Parts: sequence; structure tokens; C-alpha cells
Amino acid sequence: MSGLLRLEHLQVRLPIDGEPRTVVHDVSLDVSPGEAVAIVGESGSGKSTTLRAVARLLPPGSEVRGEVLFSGESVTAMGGRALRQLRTGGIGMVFQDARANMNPVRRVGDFLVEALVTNLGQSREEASRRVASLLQEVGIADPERRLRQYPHELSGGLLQRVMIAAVVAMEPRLILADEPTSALDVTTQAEVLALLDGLRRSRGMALLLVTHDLELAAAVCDRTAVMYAGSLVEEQRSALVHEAPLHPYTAGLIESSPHSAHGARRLPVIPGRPLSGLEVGVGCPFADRCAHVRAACRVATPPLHAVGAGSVACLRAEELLASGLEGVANGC
Amino acid sequence: MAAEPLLEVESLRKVFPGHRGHPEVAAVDGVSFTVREGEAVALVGESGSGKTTTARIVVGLERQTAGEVSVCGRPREPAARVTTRERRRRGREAQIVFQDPYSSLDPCQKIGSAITEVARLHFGLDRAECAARLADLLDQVGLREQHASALPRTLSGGERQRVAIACALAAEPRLLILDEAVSALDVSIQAQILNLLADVRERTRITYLFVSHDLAVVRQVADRVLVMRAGRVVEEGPTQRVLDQPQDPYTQLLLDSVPRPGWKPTRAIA
Repeated sequence: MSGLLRLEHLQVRLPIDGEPRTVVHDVSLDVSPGEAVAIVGESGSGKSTTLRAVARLLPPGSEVRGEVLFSGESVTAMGGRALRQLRTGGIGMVFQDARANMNPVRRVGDFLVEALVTNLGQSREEASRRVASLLQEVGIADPERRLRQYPHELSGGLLQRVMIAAVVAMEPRLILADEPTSALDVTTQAEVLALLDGLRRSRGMALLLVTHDLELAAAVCDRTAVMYAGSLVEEQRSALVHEAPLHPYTAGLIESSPHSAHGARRLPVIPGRPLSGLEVGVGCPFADRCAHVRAACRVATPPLHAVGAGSVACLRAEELLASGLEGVANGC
Repeated sequence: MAAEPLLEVESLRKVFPGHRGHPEVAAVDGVSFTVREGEAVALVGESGSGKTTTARIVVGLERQTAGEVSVCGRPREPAARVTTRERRRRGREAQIVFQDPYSSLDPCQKIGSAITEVARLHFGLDRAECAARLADLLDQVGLREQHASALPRTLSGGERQRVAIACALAAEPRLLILDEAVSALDVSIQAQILNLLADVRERTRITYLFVSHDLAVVRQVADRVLVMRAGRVVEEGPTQRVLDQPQDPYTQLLLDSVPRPGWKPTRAIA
């Protein structure tokens, strides 16, 4: 059991209109040291909530069941001091909107230097030098000038680089990244991802990346986990996801993406809309949209079980895999 | 293919004034193109390329600094005041669907009322005609009749975007501009809306002008592509040719940056 991060049957209830309601139903996932794992899902799938549960960043009144273990220690049981240690040295988090996560009235330099001074006990001069060299490493030219600027003077791509520099500066063992490039232009996205990937590899940091983009997940992560309606439905090596998806939902997502359709006049479509974790009843949450549904699918929620080198939560996975998982998506 | 030009844009220029020490910005800087009736053309580019500003000038939401725009053969002068009659006439020529279906609908107006309001303003329909038109439009965009009495907040993002498309179609425009209209949608919903747009086009011979940053979407919907960068068109041609054999290095860079199986992100040499 050399796992760095281990989620065991994670269940999260968030207070919605004063009532705790289940948003994440069942997520079990391991991340080894230095490994990159992606959680892919559509809106409401619970992917961001799962990520936030790892850093204990859920809103007050949330209830977490199951276990979140970071290098063997239970994150759910941590008190103030342990939690602070976890967030300053164990894990670092990169959010989608860097601008919303920085103090707009303080300089970029203050933001970066302060963290090093308070958390690592470095002197201001030492920290400033370190920060300048880090900015250079994340591809920011003229770091001295940038450090004196305010967040509003920097573009989204530059701010996300600053955010990555801030996280890397703490040398965490695990980086949590929530759609870090979704708000960026494609060319900037490629650069920021390359940067994150390079820094992570050279320092042996693990990455847990949340994204809606299967192609992006496959490109930067070793393993891909797919979430639907608050549950993990598939998990396997990223290289295999596009060639041999295990769950009908994953297969449908790939087929309905315009990336895969070359020249077809109409895209294959998964009927209906994605469910959120709140709307799940009895049985497989994907049953109503699935072309392979059987009566048994609606009776009980299929458990995640091993198939080949991955795992999947589908009753008919073995059978469908043998016959080739095609024609999941069809005309609407 | 000798269809008449529906939209002509000639040497379009839009300069936004600078403020507080910032210099003025030429968001659109000498853009010319023609869209023929029945065509689907895409303006592709990253943020700041001027693609959205161009689209907003075409529908009359911005006034150009210089250059000419003609829709359906009639020039649209950048007049400060346009009569209501003229504005409505223009509304029947060109309509626009925006990116964010959460902010483009009135939260207090029921769906049915939002759609029929457009039809009534433009065509002076009576109650019975309105009801018939509403049923027809809901059907066209794949919504059920029950949706007519719903408020936007009870609808999902995909359903809202269908409503926005229905509102635009209610004016029976000859040109429909879609400004990143599927960018905010989930992958499985995006495919449904793209197919819906293809259905509408087949049925009505409507002309599309897409504004998008997503090359995969553009490949799916557009006959012709204009690649924009910093206010200028850097490459133009049939979609397949431009995306398969790009001539301009910037188009190539855009294509190389799209994540796909086997892709590795690279840092462009600064």
C-alpha cells in the first residue's frame, strides 16, 4: 500500500437549501507518488466536489463519509494544525479562475513571497530571489517587473502561471488542479499544461486533474477516471480510454465529440442530459441514456469492479467489451 | 454555388478608445469577407482576435470606426440613431445567439412568452397564430410543449440554448450568428445542439456565421473558415483545406494546440 492519496468509498453531502444532499455517492481512487490521474466528467458529476473533499475545502455544513487518506493519514479526521501542514506542504491546489483566487489589492510578488515567508520560514530577501527564479521557470519574462504588478495587470495565462509557481514553490507531493486551463485560449492552454507537466515530472509530484475534456486528460495523465452523476463509472490507463472504453457513457462521450467525427453530417448523440449526483435514484445512474440498458440495470447500482487492467461500474461491461462497445450514442 | 452574397464586410475597422494611460486598441483592423446565401462560415481565433467584435458590428450591437457592412444587399450605416422600424427590419435579416444561455434569457419571463414576443413584434400575429408558431418553433428546437410555461431557471444549459435559438429563429432571419453558442455546453449536449443547427439549416436554407475558438466544432459545422488574429484575417478558405493543410503558421499553431489522443503539450519557443 504505497499510495500517496487514497479515496475509499467517498461520499459527500453538501448543504443545499439548508438540507444536506448527496452530491458525490461513491468514489474510490488511488494516486501513487509521482503519478498523474485525471477525473473527467460533465457538469454536476461531482468531480470538483471530490477534489475539494481531498483538500477539505468543502463549504461549512458538508458531511463526508468514507475515507480520504493522504500518505496513510486520514484527512477527514485532521485538526487545524495538521490541516495547515497538509495544505502548505502536502498538497497544492490550482483553480480554474486564478484571478478569483488572488487578492486583487496586493501585488503578485506579495502573494508569492508571503507564502514562502510564513510557511517555510524564509527571509524576505531569500524568498524574493526564489520567487523571481520560479517565475522565470514558469516562462514569465521580466519577473522583477511582474512581481511589482497587481493581478489585474496580468493576462489570464500569466496569472495561471503565477498560480502554478505559487503551488510549486511549496514543493507539495500532490497537486490538485481543477480545470486549470478551461478559461484559457488553446495555445495558452498547451503552454500552461506543458509547464505543469514538466515541473511536476522534474520534481516527482503527483497530479490529480479535474477536467471535462477526455482528450486533454489522456494527453497529460497516466490514468483517467470518469465520473457520472456523483459516482466513478470507469477508471483505467489513459492510453486505453479512447481505444477501449469500458463504460457505455465513456464510449458515448468519445463518439459524440466533434473531435472524433471526421466529415459525418450528424454527430452520434447520447440522448437526454447529464444527471447530477442530486438526481440519482435506484439503479445505474446512466440507465435512462444507455443503449445497452437491461432490466437488471435499474434494480441496483452496479459496483465498481475490475475488468482487464481497469475497473468499471457497469453490469454488462464484460459482455459489451467482448462484442465491442459501439453504437452507444445514436441519433436524437 | 452561385448564390448571392448575403453578408458583405469591407475593410471593417473598430478602434476602442484607450483609458487611464492605456493606448487605444484596434480590435478589428481591416477585415473583409463575403458570406453567400445558404453558406456556413466560421470566424476562428483566440481571445482578442476581433471575431466577436466583428459579429457584434454585423448585428448592430457595436458601431464600426470605418469600413462597410451590408446585409441582404443593404448597407448598414453606422448611424447613431436607427428608427424602430429599421431596427426591426434588420432583426429579420440577422439574429444572434450568445455563448451564455444563463445570462441571455430574462429570468422572469416564461419561455413561451419570450419566443412569441419576438414573433408578434416582427409579424403582428394574433393569438391563434402565435400559438401555432410557438408550437412549431418548440418542435424545431426539440423542446416539448410543457416547456412553454417554464421559467428559465428550471431549464438546463442545453435547454436554455435551445430556447435562445428558438427566439432567434422566431424573427425568421436569413442570417444567424452563433457567438460561441455551444462552448459553454457539456460534450454530450454540445453534440445535440450541433445536430439541431444542422437540421435547421437543412430545412430552412438559413445562413450561419459561427464565431468560435473550437476547431473541432468548426470542422463539424462550417463550409468555410476565416482564421483571425489580432484584428486581422490571417487565413481563409474551405474548412477542410484550412484545417488539413494550413498555410499560415498561426493556423498550424492553433491546430497543434488542440488536445487529442497521443498529443503532448509543448511549450512554444518564446
